[in-house]
Amino acid sequence: MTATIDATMNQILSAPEEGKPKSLALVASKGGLDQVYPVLIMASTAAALGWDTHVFCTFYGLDIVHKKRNKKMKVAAVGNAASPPPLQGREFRVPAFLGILPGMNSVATWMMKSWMKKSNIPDIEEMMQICLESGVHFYACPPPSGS
Amino acid sequence: MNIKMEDIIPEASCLGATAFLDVASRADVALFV
Repeated sequence: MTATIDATMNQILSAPEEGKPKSLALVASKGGLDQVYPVLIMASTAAALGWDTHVFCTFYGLDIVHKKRNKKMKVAAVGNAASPPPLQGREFRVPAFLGILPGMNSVATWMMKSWMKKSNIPDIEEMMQICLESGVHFYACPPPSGS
Repeated sequence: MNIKMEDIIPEASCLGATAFLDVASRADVALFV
């Protein structure tokens, strides 16, 4: 197993063929805090590996490149059977119907942010800064608003 | 959604889907997240 992982990592980290960097194209169409983190983690990691990275932001994914909204991202308390994350190693499940109570989105967001902080993962603003400094290309494509 | 282009960070390109598809068609990895 370890040998396989080592071989895969060596292949990923190996020098690009014919001097051409590898490239990654991501489509981000969701704007929840827990849905944006994977995009930015993948983009920043690929850019750190020297990959040419492009992120297409559309529909709710536009919040990633929105000046104000990317500071106010939240986690939805309903609709995720796996939430919340295990707390201090203990399995802890909140009954789904509690998610409809007022303030539960804020609670879920607070839990997610504290989880990320404990895991030493930067917040969204910092992740964006890292991506931009690493040369990740963002494409903003608003859907037709009809207004 | 009513998003104005002036609300978008200046680093983001507004070239649209065609430009991205041109890049994505040549990408080693393409993901829908």
